[in-house]
Amino acid sequence: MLYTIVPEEIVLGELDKVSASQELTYRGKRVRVLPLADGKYQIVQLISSNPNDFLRSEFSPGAII
Amino acid sequence: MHDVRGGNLVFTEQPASKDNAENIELIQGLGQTQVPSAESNIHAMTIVGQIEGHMILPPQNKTTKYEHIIPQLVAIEQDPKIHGLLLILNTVGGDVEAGLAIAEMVASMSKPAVSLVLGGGHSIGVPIAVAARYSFIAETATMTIHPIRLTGLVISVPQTFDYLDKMQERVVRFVASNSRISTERFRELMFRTGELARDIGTVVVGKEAVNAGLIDSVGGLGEALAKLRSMYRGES
Repeated sequence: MLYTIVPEEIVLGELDKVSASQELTYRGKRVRVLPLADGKYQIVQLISSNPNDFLRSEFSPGAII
Repeated sequence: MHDVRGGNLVFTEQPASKDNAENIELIQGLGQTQVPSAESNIHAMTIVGQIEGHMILPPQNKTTKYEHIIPQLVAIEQDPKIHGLLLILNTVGGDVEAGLAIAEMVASMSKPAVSLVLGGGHSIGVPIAVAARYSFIAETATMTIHPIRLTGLVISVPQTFDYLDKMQERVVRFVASNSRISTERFRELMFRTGELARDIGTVVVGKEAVNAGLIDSVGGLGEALAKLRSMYRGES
């Protein structure tokens, strides 16, 4: 449930554009990524139980690998 | 390497090509060439855009993902090198449960946390802002307090209304127990009419948030860092 000042139709405007993500191993860590046009990947989510991995900028959501 | 000073581009000596590639990546990603790399004994966490929870939001939204924030909070709490957390908010709100989850995590940390509301800390940003042990708001920053609702949905059964009411109560109770504001006063701000053009509720700006008892002080980065430093040194 959303609690925001932005109207719902703007937040959810292009809901159908969410593309398929895939999982791969990057620097020994499991990550969920979105493939980009130039053969690179954009990190969507880091899958790890080590909390310190989440402080590493190369694994932050949105990072390009 | 490019260095922007006072709006003028200053070209300095070209670094090695590996650095150059990194710089291009930084410009594309952050719009700047250098990021500070000095070791810090505090951790600054930014809560920006929409707080993304159970649902992946479409790409036109700038989002803060709670599944990334929560383990970061665990790392901050556990890492002996980190003495405190600076929580910087500029958020339009977002998922109720993700927001409350972040707020509860921050409120239950044993390490000192200071929040700073810059720009806006609206809707579900309000409980996150008050969750820190001490909160600041910039003079120009705003917070919107309004009821939780389902837009575009016809409330057909009384149970739906009860459900919304329960979700809202969770926010009201959390804010009241983590700040100086009472549940009555917070509800009064939430349901006030005639303040917002398209909705019921209230917008509080800077000092007004402090006067309402939501936020502890008006201040900026300097004040927030000084407060955090004095807290982890055990001075306050």
